[in-house]
Amino acid sequence: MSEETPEVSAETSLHIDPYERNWMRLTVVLLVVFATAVTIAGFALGFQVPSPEERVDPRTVAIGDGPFADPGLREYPDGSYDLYIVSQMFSFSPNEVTVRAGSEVTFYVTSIDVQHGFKLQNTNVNMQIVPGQVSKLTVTFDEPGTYDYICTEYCGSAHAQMYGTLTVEK
Amino acid sequence: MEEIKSTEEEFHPKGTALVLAIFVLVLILLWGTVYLILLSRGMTTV
Repeated sequence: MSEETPEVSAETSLHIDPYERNWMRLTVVLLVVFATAVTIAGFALGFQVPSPEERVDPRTVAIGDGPFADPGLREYPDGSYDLYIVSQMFSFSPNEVTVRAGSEVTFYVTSIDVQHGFKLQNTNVNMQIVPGQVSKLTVTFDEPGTYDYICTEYCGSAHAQMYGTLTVEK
Repeated sequence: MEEIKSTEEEFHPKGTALVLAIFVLVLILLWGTVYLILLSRGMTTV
């Protein structure tokens, strides 16, 4: 008894239903559109994601002569600020900051214990705060108002109490 | 081949196509909304 191998033509084996083909085309078009939009935001419009600025020792970063030993605002003659923030369970230091509208603020945030998050509400500032690393991001505040910053990484029982306020004055 | 062609002619899943069209529309709207929020909140640099 011999078994015959069924003949499969190329046309039959490569058959793709028109609905499936159109779905694949639409998927590719969407991916290209989304990737193009992200590329334009990142390279043409200058949107950048947070970067690890430097490595530090979390046991000693908040003591001694470094900027994190005296966290807070540093104002420069051109009206810009550097803001050094130390995060620890369950607070940010400082937790109240005031800057002028139109000023450029560079955030330097580090942790001295566990991993935290730093999210400045209603802005694009959103960073992971890893012990042993300084996270940096610069943003310009054009609109006066109050912006709360919160910890977005669960860090313990009082995680929900870990927040601060940045006020932008006219 | 004739059998396949006749099946193709009869295969019009309009309900599935409608559900997928709605899915794609919602996907585009949600993605576009988040993208516009990102742009409206201003540039961040390092």
